[in-house]
Amino acid sequence: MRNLVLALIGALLVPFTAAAQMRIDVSGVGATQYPIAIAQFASSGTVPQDIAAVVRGDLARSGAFRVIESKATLSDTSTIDFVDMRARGADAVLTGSVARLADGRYDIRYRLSDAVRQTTLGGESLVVTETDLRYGGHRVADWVYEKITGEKGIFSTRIAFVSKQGNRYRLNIADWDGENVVTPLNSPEPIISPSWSKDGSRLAYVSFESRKPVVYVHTLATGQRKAVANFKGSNSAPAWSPDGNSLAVALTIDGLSQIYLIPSDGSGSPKRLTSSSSIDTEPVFSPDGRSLYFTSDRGGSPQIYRIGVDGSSATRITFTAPYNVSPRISPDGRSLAYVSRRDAGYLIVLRDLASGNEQLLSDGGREESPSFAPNGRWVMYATQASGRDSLVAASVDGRVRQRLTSNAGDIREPTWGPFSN
Amino acid sequence: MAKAGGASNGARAGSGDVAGPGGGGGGPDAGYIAKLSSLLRLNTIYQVPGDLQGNPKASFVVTVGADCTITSVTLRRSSGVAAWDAAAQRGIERTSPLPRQADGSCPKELEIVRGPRDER
Repeated sequence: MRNLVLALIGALLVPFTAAAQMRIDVSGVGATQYPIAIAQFASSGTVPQDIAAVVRGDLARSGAFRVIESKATLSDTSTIDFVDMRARGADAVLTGSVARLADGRYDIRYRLSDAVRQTTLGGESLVVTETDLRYGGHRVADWVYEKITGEKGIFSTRIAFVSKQGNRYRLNIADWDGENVVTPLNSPEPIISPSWSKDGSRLAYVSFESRKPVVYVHTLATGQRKAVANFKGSNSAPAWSPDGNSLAVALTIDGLSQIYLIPSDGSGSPKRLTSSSSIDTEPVFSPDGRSLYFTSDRGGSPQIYRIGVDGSSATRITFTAPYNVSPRISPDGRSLAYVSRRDAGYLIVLRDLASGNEQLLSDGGREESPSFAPNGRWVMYATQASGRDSLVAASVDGRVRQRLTSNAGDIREPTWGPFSN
Repeated sequence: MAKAGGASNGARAGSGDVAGPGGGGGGPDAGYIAKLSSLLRLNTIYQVPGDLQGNPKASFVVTVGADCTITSVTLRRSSGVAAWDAAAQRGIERTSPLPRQADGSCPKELEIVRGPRDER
């Protein structure tokens, strides 16, 4: 009974305690970038790639992190001096090790720790060949990015683009930051409009090697390539269906350029999708595969339209400027990036399809070929500045823009590949 | 509920030098609240999403030990935006240990209400 009375008195006291409590109501934030320290990874012997440097570069370029200099070597099993890390301003600490295995491959082990809560956020490992060490670093960066932001990272994805040097045209594939370039195709005739299959195993593109535009599908693992659209007239602007079984292409087989669907293995005959008395081109599938966006001048000026995959009912999407071309749909299907002619020239516009709100992603004036990163956070495009063609990756929140140049000459026609796994 | 670390963040939180009128009786004073508010803002890392509506506020109950370190941070009312709740909580944890009031003490318990957008 006495306990009950005490409990009641206690309950009565609670409101008074709460009233005496200090209350602070404050709005606003101090920073937008997450501070992270990335230690040198421990290794026994020489590792031909500085994994920690790759991770630092990726996270810093993402704009979401502030990378704090840490010269210390700390393995994934090292004890971390959290007080020191906090004093340096780090909220998280990445440590790791790289060890060469008996078969010549490398074992990368890494651990992320929370310096504020003084706990581990987890650790993982991966085994890569020597040539894939840089890829391994990108994978580590993807893991850290997802652990902290909750979103998938794009650091281990690849981009394709075309370079022109002298009279040689090259189809190139590179890491997202433009490094680590390989060249699946090298030709004396132009190559344009590369497009990744959704699984990343194949590229479709247009090559002029037979002195007219022909659409090829190139299987990257084997180097095997096949002409899949080589009809009378022009064959251009290939775009993969989400299931990889068909391509949308622009053909002049019946006269003016129109949109057709063809099987991606080159079998069968093209199925006509649009029937206009104008030029329809640059098709791209919506992520659900049920509709396509394309460019048409059916309304008197080039604008972007959407059509059902069965060819039904074309709807005009863009109105704001007299020239809107090269549509690309975001991976979530909610926004459209395209090239729009404005007072400042040809700019990349990002449009929210539900609200119609528009945002300018570029300010150069000579932009073309937008392409979304698979997490929808970036749009890469080609631009011309100081007489040189280069590529720019712009974050869709407008905060970060990074330019990729190449010693391979002029680079253009970027297309961002899918997630690597 | 998260437990904040021991003697971390001393440099940022500072200690003792409370500005403003002295709260001799140990009760909260305006200078102390202003100082703590400023630290809470400074220690919070969050990128306000472009499509965020209004200024959603999260409310926390924070308990503090005699050495001014934060012993617990409990979300009492969510802002409705999970990422902001988490960022605001982390900002509070980063503010441990709290600065001392003019009399050298720390509040034992606080209610902290946090919104992401500046209000002027």
